[in-house]
Amino acid sequence: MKKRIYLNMALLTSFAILFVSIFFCLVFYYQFSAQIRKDLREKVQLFQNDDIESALNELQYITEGYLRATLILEDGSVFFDNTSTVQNLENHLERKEVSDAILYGYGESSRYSNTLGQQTYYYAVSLSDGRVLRLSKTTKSIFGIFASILPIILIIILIAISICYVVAIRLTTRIIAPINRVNLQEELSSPYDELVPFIQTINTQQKKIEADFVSLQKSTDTIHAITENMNEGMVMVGEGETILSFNKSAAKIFDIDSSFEGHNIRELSRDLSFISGIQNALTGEAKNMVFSKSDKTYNALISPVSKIGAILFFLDITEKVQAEKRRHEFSANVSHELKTPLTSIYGNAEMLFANVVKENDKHYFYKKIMIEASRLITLIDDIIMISELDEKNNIIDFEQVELADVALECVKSLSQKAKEYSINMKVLGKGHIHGNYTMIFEMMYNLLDNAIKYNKQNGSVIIEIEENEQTKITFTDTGIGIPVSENERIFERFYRIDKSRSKKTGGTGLGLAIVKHIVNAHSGLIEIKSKLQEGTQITIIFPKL
Amino acid sequence: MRSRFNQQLYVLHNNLIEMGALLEQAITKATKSLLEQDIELATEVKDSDNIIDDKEKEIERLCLKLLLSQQPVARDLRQISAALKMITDMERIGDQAAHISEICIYLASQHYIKELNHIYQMANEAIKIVTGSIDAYVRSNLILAQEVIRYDDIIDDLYDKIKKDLIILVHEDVRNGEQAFDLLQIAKYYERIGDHAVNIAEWVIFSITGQHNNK
Repeated sequence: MKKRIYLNMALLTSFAILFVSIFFCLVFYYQFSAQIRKDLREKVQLFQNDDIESALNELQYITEGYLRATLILEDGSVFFDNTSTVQNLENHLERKEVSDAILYGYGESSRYSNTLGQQTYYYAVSLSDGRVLRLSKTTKSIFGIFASILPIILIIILIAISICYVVAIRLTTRIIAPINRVNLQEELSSPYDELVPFIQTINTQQKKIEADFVSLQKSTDTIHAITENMNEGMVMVGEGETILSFNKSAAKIFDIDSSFEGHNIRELSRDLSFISGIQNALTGEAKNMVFSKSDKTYNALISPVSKIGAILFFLDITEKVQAEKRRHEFSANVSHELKTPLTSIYGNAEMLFANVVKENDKHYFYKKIMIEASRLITLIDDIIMISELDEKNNIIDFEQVELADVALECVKSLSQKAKEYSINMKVLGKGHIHGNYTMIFEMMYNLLDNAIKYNKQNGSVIIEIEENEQTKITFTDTGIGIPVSENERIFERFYRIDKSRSKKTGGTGLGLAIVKHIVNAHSGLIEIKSKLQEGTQITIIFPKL
Repeated sequence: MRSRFNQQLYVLHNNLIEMGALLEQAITKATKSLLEQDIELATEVKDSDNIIDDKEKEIERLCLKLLLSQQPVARDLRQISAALKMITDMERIGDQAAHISEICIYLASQHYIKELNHIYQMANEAIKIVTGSIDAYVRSNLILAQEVIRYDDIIDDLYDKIKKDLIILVHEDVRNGEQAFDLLQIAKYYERIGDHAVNIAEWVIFSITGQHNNK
């Protein structure tokens, strides 16, 4: 802006100075030449009536260095000239002023010499004796004058330009200052009327930018909140297989911190199929793969981003995989467990049908079929029970359950079995919980059944109920005990510590799995204390609701 | 100049990680082929040893090129010389995995004279220690490297246990002798893998601190 103003000013000033100079030059020149002509005329008229011979000396004297005086004879030849030798001069008859003077009594003209840049003015009068007296004066031509004052003009222009420079700076600063004072952070008001539309546009733009920024910030925050808080790990990979960014979950999965940004993806995992998956994604191919890292299984979704990067998602499918494995094992076990009694029933029935059994032994075969069939029924009951428990995560039919009553009922229904093993059963204390009666019965029945089955001859089982801040049921037996290493596994479906024993004691292998399910459904805990060959103490703890 | 050097160091780093990945894969597959008596898998491991050898040569060339053209000093020099030493151990680990799979091919048709639980445990520990040493390198983690060195004792103990078990088996029946020898060989290979992993960890420590345990 400064430069522009300065340039314009300088140009304008220079032009003005030049124009004025030329104008004045012209005016002065015409005035000047008129003055010269008048001067010449007056001078010549002075000599017109004089005696020429006497005037010649005077003429020579007066005009030396100032005017040129020429006396021309009637035939045009020069008789006298005060500035040059007469012989050198040509005939002057053809000159306009001379011929005019001869014709009209006076004549004037001016001639311009290109080579000398001079203008010569002539004035001639016809004297009384017929001769012609001519006076002439040579001055600089208009161009000559102009050329002589040009340096001065240039100096003036230079000075003017310098002044312009200073003025331009001052002026610009003064014009700009109010604009500079405008605070762009606030609502703007225009310092000049000319700027009002401009300022208004800025104001609207500013408002729009603010609004856009807010909405942008909001969407950034939203995306950030989503990525940071989602359970799935997310990693962005850029060119050269480098890690661009990742979220909190991914940091946890790979045990990394922000210093890993910019590192190679191989530092996350060296799994070769994972790396080749990413390499493929960088060429535009999506991949879905199972990926394991420190005991956990993830579903890794690798999606390409326009061939320059990739986004990786890691979904934790550990539990799903384990559940699937459990289900698979369960169905395999169920088929196996169902097949065993059925094979036995089929074999015995076949022998009876083929009539190869002696009459006396038939009884034994019928009994065997009955035992196996009842085992099958118990097993199917248990499977139905556990399947139902699997289905229903929330049990609705909760009621007040008097634990001592349930315990006594269990004791009653198992008294026959206890008699067979000569086991002494005892129920101590009382308490109640908020629960499902059938389930609590099932739970206590299973635990008591185990305590009898895995007891020693003449052993005992004590069921102790305690109600304080929590409600506790403790089953203490004097049985064979459980090895510590098996504490966790006994709750798995169909798990048997001693496989050879299961045939003898019966049971389905689902009892404790059902117990665990029921305890979980009541938000309870199971504690096991056991000493091999001395006995086991299982405590079920229910929180007070 | 420096940025080009850094870029080359980055390439070296990635190559080492890649070689580590190849090793981990080789040991894992060798172990799987041992347990499942899978001849195909064992052959695959045996053949893939070439890839590991090629990788070693490639890294070696890169290191020498860096040393000659950039003449690094201090930490950079340590890093490159550690890499040069590490790949020797890494290549040896690859060889051990190939040796194990060779024996696996031989044993595939036989019934194992003992349950392989101890050898399996040893194999798992060997995989863990190799992974640990490579992780220590990848993350320049001094603590992890030191842990790896201590961890080797577990593998050594397991080796002794397996040796004793096999001696008993040979005592019981001399016919067990041949397979016992092969199994001992396998155990020894795993034990050697552990030792090489310790070497790697020591070079990692050297590249971080400038001090080598043996000196």
